Amino acid sequence: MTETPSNYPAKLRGAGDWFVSWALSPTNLLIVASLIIGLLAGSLAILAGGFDPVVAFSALIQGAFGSSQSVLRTIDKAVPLVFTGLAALIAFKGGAFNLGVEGQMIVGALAGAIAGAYITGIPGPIHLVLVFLVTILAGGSFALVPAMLKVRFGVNEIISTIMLNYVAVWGTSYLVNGPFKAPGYVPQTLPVAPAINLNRVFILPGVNFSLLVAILCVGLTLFLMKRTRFGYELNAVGINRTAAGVAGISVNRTTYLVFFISGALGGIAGILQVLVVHGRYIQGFSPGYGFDGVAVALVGQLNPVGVAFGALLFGALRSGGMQLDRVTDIPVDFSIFLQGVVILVIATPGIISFLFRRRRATR
Amino acid sequence: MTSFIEMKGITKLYPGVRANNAIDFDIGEGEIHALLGENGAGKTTLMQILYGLVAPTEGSISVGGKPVEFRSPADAIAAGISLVQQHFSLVGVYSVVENVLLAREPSRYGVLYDRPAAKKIVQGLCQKYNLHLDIDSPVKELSVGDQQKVELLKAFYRGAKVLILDEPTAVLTPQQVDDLYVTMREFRESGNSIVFITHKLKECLTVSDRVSVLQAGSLVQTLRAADTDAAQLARMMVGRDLAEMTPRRAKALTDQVLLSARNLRVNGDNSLEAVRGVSLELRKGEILGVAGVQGNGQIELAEALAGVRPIVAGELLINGKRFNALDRKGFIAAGVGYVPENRHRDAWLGEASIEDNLILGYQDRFTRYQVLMKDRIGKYARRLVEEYDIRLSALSAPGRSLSGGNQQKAVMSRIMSQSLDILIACQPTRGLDISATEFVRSKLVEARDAGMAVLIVSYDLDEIKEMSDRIAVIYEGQIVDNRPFSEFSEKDIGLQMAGASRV
Repeated sequence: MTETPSNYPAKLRGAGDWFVSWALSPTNLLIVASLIIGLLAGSLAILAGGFDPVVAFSALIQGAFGSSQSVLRTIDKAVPLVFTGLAALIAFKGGAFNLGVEGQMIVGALAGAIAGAYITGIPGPIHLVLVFLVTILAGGSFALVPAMLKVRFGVNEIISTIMLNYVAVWGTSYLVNGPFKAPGYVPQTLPVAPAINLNRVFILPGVNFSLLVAILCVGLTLFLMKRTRFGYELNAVGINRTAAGVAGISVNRTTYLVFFISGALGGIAGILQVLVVHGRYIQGFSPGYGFDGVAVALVGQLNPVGVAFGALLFGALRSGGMQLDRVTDIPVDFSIFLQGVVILVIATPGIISFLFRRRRATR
Repeated sequence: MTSFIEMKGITKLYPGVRANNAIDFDIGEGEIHALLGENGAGKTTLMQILYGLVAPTEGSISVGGKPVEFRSPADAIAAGISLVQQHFSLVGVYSVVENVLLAREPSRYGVLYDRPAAKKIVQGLCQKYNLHLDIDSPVKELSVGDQQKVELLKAFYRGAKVLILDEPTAVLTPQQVDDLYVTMREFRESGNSIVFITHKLKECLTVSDRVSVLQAGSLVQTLRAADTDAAQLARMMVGRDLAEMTPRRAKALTDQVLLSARNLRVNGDNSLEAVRGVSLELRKGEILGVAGVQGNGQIELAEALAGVRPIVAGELLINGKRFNALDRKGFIAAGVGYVPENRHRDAWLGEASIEDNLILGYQDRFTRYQVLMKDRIGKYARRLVEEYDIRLSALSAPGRSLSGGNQQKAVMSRIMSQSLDILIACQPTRGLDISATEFVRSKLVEARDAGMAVLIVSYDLDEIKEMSDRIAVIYEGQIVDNRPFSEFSEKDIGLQMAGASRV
């Protein structure tokens, strides 16, 4: 036996070794293999459509990473997915499916936007903190509804979270078309106070405030999952509820917290769109960030850092897709198709490991 | 006797472990062949290779003289080999009949499920192999012993010629074990063969024709059961002479009651009353053995005493403080340790690291300001692994990578290593091999001598007799007798367990 097991304590090796073995770990090889399969399938589709794959992919890459402007656009598209991806991840890890991140996001965003527009006369920084608090409370509380239904009445959260998305969409639609409608034709709120409009706040040239919050949240989630007792208990509940209960962990309390955090993260995704991008809540601002979060979490192999990369990949496909539309005749749907293939092959690692196993057995 | 299956030079390497080392193993026609060895000796791996679950690193297999290569269990089943694993693979909501015939149902006109024919087939199999079962009831409502029968029926129905049983007696009561022997012999009489994986010497001498002993991945010897005895087998299995274990009783029983239950009533999973008015006292520095046939409420009683099952009526005092609510955390804080009967289900996280598993239930003690103290946890885990000889590839490996016996050891180790006042242990040595059993028992005695109050629930009367300072006999949810060990005669206990005499 000369090979080193991949889970060998990292301390005993140099940092370089650690990186190599991490990079070559089965999980990562799996992701790379999935990407290659996705690219191949994409190429076939382009060929079948009578286009040139090389042209398509170079446009896609150009659009995603070709210039500093496109890199910024990619980041902008990726950031909301980081939050919704983390939201889905926390729920998965805690043994629950939260398919209601979309709803929690718009509820949190609207509540925060209202607080941002209607509260006046307090200093900007305090106002900003307050807006975030309102967002977190609103998004988190809205997620407590399915948690309560699950804990108290045993309602399957997959169904309740999906259905509550409709409640969120039409509930916010009522508010933003009724009591909180700004004058004009568009269903939107009044703009938030200028002091908390973060449109022009950059942490680096061209890089806005959201990225900072996203990186912060990835770090916090990682710390929460790996280092805290709550993360430990959440993991235990997610893996084996019975054993967690026997170990003195309150399964119900953990479930509530998991949903609250998940919904709060969704809310943060939304309020950053409000504060940084639009300056106000606009109905239909989300092209489905909440729904994509589930896919991002799976592509990220349920690891917070993986979620960041997954979000970046999705962001790249989106901003690259725009370039594709602009400079080639290839329809933009192609990048969406590619997204779908990547989700399928990465999020179902079973397929690939099955293929590998078969090959090994044949050898 | 001709060999039906021959395995030659089987070697299996896992990262860091040589699970099987050039093993030659053969199965004759019409024989029961016991595969004996301690936890982690390589018994299960060898059989997983035969069943096509695991590919050998080296070696060859032939069936009926022809070389074969099994790529999956489907190939093995087609060759007439069936495996009954320790963890069953049954569909809980399906009936016995449906489980047995699953995916191979008899049909009418090729599409319609032929219910009467299905029932007849299963009834026939039950009769042939002397299995008594309610074949219409959903499998999840059956006892573990009956579920095992369903697994056997599945194998019979698939036309198994060679049946591999992986520690089949670990989950059975003595009576059920006897029934299993009858079925096994019946199967052999029809010219079939059985590989019987076990680490219990008595069993393999009782029922098998030949015995192969594995130790640390290598075959020690294959011999005829008639030519050997328990002492010789034990020596081969452990690789050394075993000291005769003499029971060590508590020096003197104290009067300091740590746990007292009065008129406890507890419901079982089916909402029927399982514990019907139990009163008992558990004293400092004593081991109380709860003797009884499986299913008489002892598990529900233990669960209630440990705070994982609600108490319907009655009073439970721990250290003089009243405990009633379902509050496992409070029980843990009060120093009540609990070893559940089904460790795999109630005490193990398959997808979490072994390190994480070793602190489960005691994570509070490794937390400061809500943050886990990773260094302390690592040190603690390494100590447990060494002290209890838990065989693993790495502490960061997932819990499911541990073999069954090692999972048991890990669970015992983490509970026994905490400073506890009271320990409620269900089947503390279930699934453990000789050395580990010896070790756990000596740990229990040690803890008792240090002042712990220990309650052991066991279906194994030998274990109760060997360990207990005091014995409580439970029958149909009631304690029918409770006296110091010295005042019992063996006959008493047996009769009371069967419900013959009520006091």
